[in-house]
Amino acid sequence: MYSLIRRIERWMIFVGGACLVAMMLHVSIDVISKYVFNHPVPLTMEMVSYYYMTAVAFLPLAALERKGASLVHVELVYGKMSRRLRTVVLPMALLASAAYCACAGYAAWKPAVRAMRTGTYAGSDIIVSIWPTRFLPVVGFALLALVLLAKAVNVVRHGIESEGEEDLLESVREEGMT
Amino acid sequence: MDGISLGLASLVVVIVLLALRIPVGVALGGVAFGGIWLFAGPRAAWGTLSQVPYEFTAHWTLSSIPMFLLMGYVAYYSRITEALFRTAQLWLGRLPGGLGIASVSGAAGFAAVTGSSMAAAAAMGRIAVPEMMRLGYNPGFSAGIVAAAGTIGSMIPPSIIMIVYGVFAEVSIGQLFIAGVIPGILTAIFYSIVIATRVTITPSIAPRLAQTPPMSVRMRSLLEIWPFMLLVIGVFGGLFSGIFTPTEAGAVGAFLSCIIALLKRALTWSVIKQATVETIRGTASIFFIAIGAALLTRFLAMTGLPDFLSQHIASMHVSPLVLMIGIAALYLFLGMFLDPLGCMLLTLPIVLPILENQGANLVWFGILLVKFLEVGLITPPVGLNVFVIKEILGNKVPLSKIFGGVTWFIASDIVLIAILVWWPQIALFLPQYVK
Amino acid sequence: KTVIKASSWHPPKHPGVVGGYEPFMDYVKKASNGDIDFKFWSGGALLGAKDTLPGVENGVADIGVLALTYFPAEFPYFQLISDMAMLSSNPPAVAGAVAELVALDCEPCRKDFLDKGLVFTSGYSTTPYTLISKEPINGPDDLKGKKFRSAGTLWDRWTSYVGGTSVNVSAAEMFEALDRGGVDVAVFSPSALQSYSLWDVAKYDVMLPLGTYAAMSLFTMNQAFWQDLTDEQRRILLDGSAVGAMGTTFAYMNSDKSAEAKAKEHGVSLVEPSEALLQQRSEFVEADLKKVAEIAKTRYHIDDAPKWIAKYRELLKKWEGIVKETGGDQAKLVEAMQKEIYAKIDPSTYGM
Ligand code: NA
Ligand code: NA
Repeated sequence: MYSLIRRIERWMIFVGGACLVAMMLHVSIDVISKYVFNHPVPLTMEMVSYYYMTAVAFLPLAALERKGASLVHVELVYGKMSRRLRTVVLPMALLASAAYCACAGYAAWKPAVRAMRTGTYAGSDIIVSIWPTRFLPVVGFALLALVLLAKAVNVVRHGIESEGEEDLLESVREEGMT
Repeated sequence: MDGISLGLASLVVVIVLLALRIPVGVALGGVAFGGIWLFAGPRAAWGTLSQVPYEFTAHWTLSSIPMFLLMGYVAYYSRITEALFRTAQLWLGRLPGGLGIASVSGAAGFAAVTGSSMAAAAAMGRIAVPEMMRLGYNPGFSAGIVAAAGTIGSMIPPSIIMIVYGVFAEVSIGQLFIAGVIPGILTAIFYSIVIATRVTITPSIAPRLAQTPPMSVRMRSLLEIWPFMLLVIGVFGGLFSGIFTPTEAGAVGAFLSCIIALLKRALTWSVIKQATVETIRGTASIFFIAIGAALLTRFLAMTGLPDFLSQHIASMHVSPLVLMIGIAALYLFLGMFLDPLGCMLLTLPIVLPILENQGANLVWFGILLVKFLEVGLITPPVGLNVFVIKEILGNKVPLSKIFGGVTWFIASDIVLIAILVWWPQIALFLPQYVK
Repeated sequence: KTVIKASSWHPPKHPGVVGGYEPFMDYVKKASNGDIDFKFWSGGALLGAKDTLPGVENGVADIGVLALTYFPAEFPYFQLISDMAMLSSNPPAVAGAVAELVALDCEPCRKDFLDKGLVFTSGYSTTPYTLISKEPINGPDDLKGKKFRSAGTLWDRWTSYVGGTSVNVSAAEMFEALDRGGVDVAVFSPSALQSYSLWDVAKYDVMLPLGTYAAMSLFTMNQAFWQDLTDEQRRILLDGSAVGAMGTTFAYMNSDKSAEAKAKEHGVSLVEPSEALLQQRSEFVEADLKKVAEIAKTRYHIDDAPKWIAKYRELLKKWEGIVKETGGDQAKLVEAMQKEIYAKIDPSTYGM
């Protein structure tokens, strides 16, 4: 199960990365084409806003919680807690995060299905369907929820050290002492 | 519970959750979701959570954030920036905090290219912080420098915040842009003074060169920075001649840095891969937090808390100076939690009429407002620029250290705000003469 | 006591707020003897331009503003209406005609709202779009090769007809783009000279009337909220919608006037269009109208488009007549809207 998530996550990274490069090229070629040929590349704004931006922001979400990496959080108080307290706080924090992401993914489902049924599109002369991008937050948040859940289980089973944030905590403690 | 108490209570809950190691994005978004549920019911809560993440993200002007991040990463991994900082060290190494001052100047330069502070911080983050650390700078200090220096991005034109304010208040955008130049440069000078002072007090946070390197060595080092100069000339030239807009500048900058890396024969597959992967992870991480902040803004809008606070200040019958202090306090407080744009949208409908009644100059207030909102980008607990830098540095520097690093710059910003309040001419001088 | 949550993403000084929501709320409060009150958010503090649609649906707000060309798939009939923008340069007539078409005649238009749990009451019309330019535009030759800031699909077709290029620039970047030459011409009403500070960067405003933007739903009601009101309350909101619709339209006209009056001191010349430009415009409108029905069929899946085009033209003529009769008096036009449109609506069945 866990390795399957990881494999999906690698694909998400790949697609997100491809969209990032596409965003750079699409905009740059549009700029050049506007300047040299007085002719913009069609759908630049639409593709950037709806496709590339959502792909880049939502698809890599699960990758933010790999081993030793985590969503941006405040370490100061946590780093000063006793080890026993941390064994309670960390899994709770992971579970709460998983719940939030699950809610966000679930919430995004209904508008996505509706957009698909309506067949939402954008553009002027040339148009492009934009409903598929509505599913990106669903996928991104859901995968992140699964990863967080797996992490919580892992921490309960193997202890908080299995998350490998110890280096960071050391430096927080040192900071506190000096 | 009425909206005001609920709004205030929710801010306390945010702080408690952050202390319990809940990720920033989750704490903000989760409290907003729960708060809307309590205040307006489950339908509004689910409805808001279903729309805000997507609508916030699918946005053309925000695309400059990933694009400038990518430019920074490509420039870093293909070592376009390494020579630059070596050269800066050779020339400025004798100054206390010379590299830090160089970074602030660099950020002021980027401010002239980007319309957003987060994009300016994203661009400078990867370029400057690791290089400073490599040359022995204290991590929290160097990260703080760049997080703060990024805030110059919205003060020096172009500036998205000024455009939104200009349309809101029906104030000339051109005048605002010109008015921002001197306060923007002053901010950079103040930051440089802070850096020099801190290094003079605690020399260990920024090692200085023992002696001035010979002129020949310094001159030769200048030859090595051509790749970076090429990038700068390309982006600046294109922007000022109207070939592209500030939003497009990010993509063009990233594209140019790829071309330059190619010319340097440094664009390997591993550079592309590392830069791309780290950019999209950084983007996702920043947006995850920004979405939480946007949700919280929605919730606070519903509760009426910002209205309540603004109206309280409006109803005080005090001198214009005390009123301005009250308004500053309002923005510093809301800026702790809200994103700049949301903060502005929530307060302006009430704050503007007060100022108009007082006959305040709205160009001057626009500049002050930008300054207030920019300070909010680096104040805890929700400092978006600090998060950008944190994401770029990953596990190398804890968040608390970066917040520690920006404290001094916040103090200098408050001094600068006081100066701008006392001498409006600092902002209004240029617009008078340039037309 | 009913407290209505009203949300507009227009800035606080925008005609839609100053002329629309504020007079609307005043009217409703007064007509209901204080029985109805409002909580009002402007400037997008509560809901932005795009998420007002789901926001009003979900009851985050009870009433909100929708610019319907942002939702082409959701509101196909309004795309057709927007495509006919160049048929008139008479803002109050357009506002009246669109409101009457939708509220009384075009059942499928209303259905697009009802399907989403929304109720349409009125829109408004901007003033005619013009050419805000850095270079003089004296004839059709001056339009060739220019870059135009895109104002919507209809204007994109006009741009390519005159041999120009449509460039997609967000409203936030229009100032910059015009300043530095990324676009040569912004297609906008003269009020943009002031509201977007375009007079700092443009030199000319060529008053070629390029049609008004009227694909708006100014007071989009949440249907459940609407159903919970009494018949009298619904009647008041309907009549209030006329106040807001004409109020916004006239506020646009006034802000045009104020911008035009101050244009000269900002170095902007207001230029009357040459005969050749007007000629070219009429030729375009004629040619384009044939395309509009075709586009409606293929893209918007509206099979009976010619019927609605004819109906709309008929209503335009009627409302242009009313504007003439009333001498363009705002209060009289509000009364006309109430009498010609809302008096014919049964508040116990409309939108239920
Ligand atoms: Na800037
Ligand atoms: Na803050």
